[in-house]
Amino acid sequence: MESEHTTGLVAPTARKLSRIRRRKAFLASWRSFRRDRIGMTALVVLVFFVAVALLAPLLADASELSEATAQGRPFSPPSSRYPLGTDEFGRSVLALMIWGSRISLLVGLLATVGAMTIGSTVGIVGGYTGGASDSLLNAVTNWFLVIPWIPLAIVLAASLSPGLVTISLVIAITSWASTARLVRAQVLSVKERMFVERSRALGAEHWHVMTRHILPNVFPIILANTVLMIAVAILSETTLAILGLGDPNSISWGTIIQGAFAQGAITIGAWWYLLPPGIAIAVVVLAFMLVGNSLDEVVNPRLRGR
Amino acid sequence: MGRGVVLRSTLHAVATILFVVLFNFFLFRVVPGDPVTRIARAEGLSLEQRDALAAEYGIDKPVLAQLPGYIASTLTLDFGNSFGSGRPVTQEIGERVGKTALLVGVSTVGSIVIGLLLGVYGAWKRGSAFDTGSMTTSLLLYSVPEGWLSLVLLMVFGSMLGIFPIGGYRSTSTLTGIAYVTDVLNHLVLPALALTLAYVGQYAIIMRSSLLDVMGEEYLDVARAKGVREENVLWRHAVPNAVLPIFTLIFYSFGYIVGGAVVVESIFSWPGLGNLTYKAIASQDFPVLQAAFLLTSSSVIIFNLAADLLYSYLDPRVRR
Amino acid sequence: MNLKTLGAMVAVIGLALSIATSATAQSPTASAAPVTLTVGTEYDLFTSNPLRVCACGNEYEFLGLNYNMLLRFSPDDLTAAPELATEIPTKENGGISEDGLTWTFNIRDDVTWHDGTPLTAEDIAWSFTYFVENRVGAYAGYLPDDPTFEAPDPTTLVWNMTVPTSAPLAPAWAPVLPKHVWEGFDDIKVAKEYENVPAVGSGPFQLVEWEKDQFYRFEANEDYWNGAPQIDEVIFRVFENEETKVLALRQGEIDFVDTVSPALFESLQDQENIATHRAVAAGFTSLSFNFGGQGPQASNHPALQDVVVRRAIAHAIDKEELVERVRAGYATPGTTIVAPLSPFHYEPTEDEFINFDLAEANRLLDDAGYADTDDDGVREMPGGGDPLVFDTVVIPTVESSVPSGRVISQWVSQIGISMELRPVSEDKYYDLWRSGDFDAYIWGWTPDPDPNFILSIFTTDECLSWSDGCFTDPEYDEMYEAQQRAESLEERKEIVNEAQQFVYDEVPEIVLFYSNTLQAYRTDTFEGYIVAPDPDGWLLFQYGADSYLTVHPVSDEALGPRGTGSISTMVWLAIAGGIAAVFVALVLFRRARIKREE
Repeated sequence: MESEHTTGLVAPTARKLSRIRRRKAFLASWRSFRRDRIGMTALVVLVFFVAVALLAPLLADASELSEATAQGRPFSPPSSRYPLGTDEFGRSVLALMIWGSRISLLVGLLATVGAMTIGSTVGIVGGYTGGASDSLLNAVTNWFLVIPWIPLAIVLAASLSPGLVTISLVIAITSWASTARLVRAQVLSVKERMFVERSRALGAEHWHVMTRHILPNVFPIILANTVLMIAVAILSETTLAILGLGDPNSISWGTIIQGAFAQGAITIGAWWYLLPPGIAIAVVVLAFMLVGNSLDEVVNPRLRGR
Repeated sequence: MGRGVVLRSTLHAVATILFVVLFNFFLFRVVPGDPVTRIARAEGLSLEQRDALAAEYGIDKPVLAQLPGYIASTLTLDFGNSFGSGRPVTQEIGERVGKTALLVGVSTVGSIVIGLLLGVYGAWKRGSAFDTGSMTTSLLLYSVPEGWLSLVLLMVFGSMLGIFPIGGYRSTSTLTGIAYVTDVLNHLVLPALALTLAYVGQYAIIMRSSLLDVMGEEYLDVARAKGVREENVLWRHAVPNAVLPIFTLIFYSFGYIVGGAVVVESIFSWPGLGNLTYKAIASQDFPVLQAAFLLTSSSVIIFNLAADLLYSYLDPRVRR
Repeated sequence: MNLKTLGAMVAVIGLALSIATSATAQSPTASAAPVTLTVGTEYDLFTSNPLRVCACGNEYEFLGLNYNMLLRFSPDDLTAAPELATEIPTKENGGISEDGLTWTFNIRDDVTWHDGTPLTAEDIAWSFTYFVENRVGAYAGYLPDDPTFEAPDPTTLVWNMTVPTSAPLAPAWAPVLPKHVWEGFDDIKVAKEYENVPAVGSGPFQLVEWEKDQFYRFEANEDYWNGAPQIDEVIFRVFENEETKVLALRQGEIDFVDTVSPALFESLQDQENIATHRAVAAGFTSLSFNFGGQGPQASNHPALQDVVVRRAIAHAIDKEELVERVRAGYATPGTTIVAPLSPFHYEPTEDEFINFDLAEANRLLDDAGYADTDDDGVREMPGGGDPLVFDTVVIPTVESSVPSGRVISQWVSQIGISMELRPVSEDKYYDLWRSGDFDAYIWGWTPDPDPNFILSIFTTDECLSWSDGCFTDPEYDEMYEAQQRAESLEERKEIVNEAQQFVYDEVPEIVLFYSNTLQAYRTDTFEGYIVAPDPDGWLLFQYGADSYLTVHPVSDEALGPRGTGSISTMVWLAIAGGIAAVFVALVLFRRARIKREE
């Protein structure tokens, strides 16, 4: 049990007290998360993939991605030189996979940041303000929830130039609504709690209430949701890439799958070209989901014990 | 269940649908270009012919001026003719809806039934090899991109084993009766398998956790004390109560049936609504798009409404 | 429940199964199965109505199979050849009047429509008049200058022109429609809504079934005046992607694929029972420049108005290398806008030829004053104005557009020009094209064999219609008119050559390469495909229905429509029965156990 030593001469301020409280809560959460073996394993897996993405230039020379200077024979099966075989240009599929991790993870992250930002803002503002603006925001949220996301994504992608930012933006726009709904529900429940009433009664401003009381109580939910959203975003990027809406200038696991399909990997039977990206995506998505799930349990002790 | 709840929920659903109608109008006009330019360039129309076409399509007026006409015709369910084929939109969509409903419907039912069964047995034999195995498989399947799964199935069954047809929903011969049914069934296997596998994990997982939630409840012990067989405790008491909370989720899934699976339909050349929508976007076929989006959204909204109402009706705790 | 009832249930199930199986025992293919050629394609029909035809789907194949033309494209060299007309009118044989304004065609008397009605000159006169009066976009262009048509008797067609042209010899690419089917509509708007399935025509095949996005089926016309086809049906099966199309060929589900990418083409080499064919296409991929004039939003770079800059860029492109990189060698380096496939193609002389020469390109730009004053690797306008940065639109969904852009921009960077690639969707492209908000783009054309169309796109009139970048030059406009008015084939050829030279020298666009069309087919099902035009042409999807008339099964056994790799009805029923039986057994077993425990 931690204790904070004071000199005895100066009483701890309210702010300091709340900081102490928050740090204790965080450490308790981390400990309980660490005890969760599945969650930790998943986290390790994620760290591994992120490391691969960051260290890509060291693991596989960028020149291996060039179509013009590829050394290998096109469509050759795995060998000692090319552990995952080669693609239609003779490039090492392993090199493609290593570099592809960057874009896949990056788009997943960017899209999620976007979705989280939009969703949380809409959810908090709507839930807190209530009234007509809440109804309007709720209606907009509902529209995004009921519209089929792939057609919407295609429509949006057609209006923008193909590229990384476009894809991330498109995914963010098609997925923020579920977060908004979640956050709004949480804000509504927090709003009803006593201390908010007390705070208002004490004359606190809306901004103070939102940042000091609402946000911290909503934040854990947002965090757990964020991790799950990354998983969804990566899957979405893959689907859009398979439909040909990916960034034509970069390589991601999704565009590798699309390339394999378009180049006849199925007809030729080049399983080494088609299988790795899908498996990698599944593993990463699974890892994100497990971590997100563990975070969820930490935040919501009711869910523990499964 | 109070009349007030029904009325309020229904009104809310209707309001959402109207909002969808409004929003959709602006959505398609966000896309650059217009359907007339594309056709004009393809057919080499003169400027006056192009203007005539634009007038015919009703897109020559400024955007806001087109709005009242659009709302009026939508409310009277007059969706006009497709810009592409010239045929009534209701005909275009009507031909496609059934095929999507078949594919996604069968897959949804399949993944729900199999998923629920897996979840029940997993929870019942909690911690066993079966439980761990099925949970891991469920999680993995759920993490796999369904487009990729379709391609893998195509490679294994279509290319390597050569068991099932490569695409389409029927072969080109004229068949009737049972032969026709078999033909469609054969074509249905691969795409339905892809969709079923993609979603079975989801239902298994939520059923399992819901049942685990219920299994510790007191009233089950009471039933056991009364001498009710373990099997019946499971199936007659625990499972129904476990299904209830996830009932709405299951019902929601049915709402998404019409939305179709764009990727799967594209890979397997399945002529469904998803495919039609995909093509209509490329050719900016506003009438088709407006109707298709409205149909899909309404389906989701209506099924959600039905789910909520049924739930409050069925849940003994919510009885008024 | 006891054993007796159990036995009864099993008996009932068994009975039901055997009834069902015997009901399907007589397979639908027992009686005479039609001999069907199945062609795989990614293009559905856009429409089955000839009045709405555009080059959006496979309509031209439909027209070629279902209808006849007045004069057709010769399978040898794509010049005009007789079809419904028995011979080509000339001044010598009296077919063309002295003043060149009246053409008289002798029409066959042995042609009947698919519904048995005889075809007469009246049908032709009516059809062409209809196209002209209603400005039917796809055909009116071939019937220029307000002609009128008469049919003084059933075997004579008169084409009255207002100015002498050689338009009928293009040949006029317009199908002849049955008057008795089409004349009853109130106006063209109503006529355009007519479904037209089955499509009544005079061609060797008739469209009888169209399942949208799945397939369209043609039945052979046994009474065809040019000889009955040797197959009963042609089915075009629509695939959403070429991958599954090629897979279906490999699995034997289809007999022919219309076009494949180089990668898939390579994968089909050395495959058992599959042969491949490489055709020189009529189309080309090109880099087009913008000359402005579309409207207030036109943003063309002033440097591109200077022919020196355009020629320098042309010198900076290694077309042979481009073909290797972008099409894996499956294309021919481009020269003039009229493709080698056409008899009007002009090959530039050695002096005229713009070769790949970076030094020459740099010299041209240096001499013209485009210097790199600020040493950033990019030249500026003479006198230090705007840098030569060109906004180049490329379209990812158009084959070769993006890869070509990438390679070319690398080359031109070596002569001090920066081509900034802007990938956009097709929709966005149309927007940009219309407003003129681009400097250059990479797309292409697939023109008719007759050069009239492709020459027209560089005329002033075609700005915002067919023109790529609103190029305008009065001298060229005159040349275009002149070739239309040419009185003899030789005269026309001369003018057309001049026009090609003009475009080649002035470089309003650079013809990068003529893509090969790559086709493949099974050798164990049908044979008898002929190459048309010979030798560089296609096996199917030709300018006419040639191969469809010569193709026949390899062996005598009847080949029905395909759908291999499936589980038969009996197996399905067995599976269903098995599941039902297992279910029933479980229920019974459980009941029995309960009974025992009580």
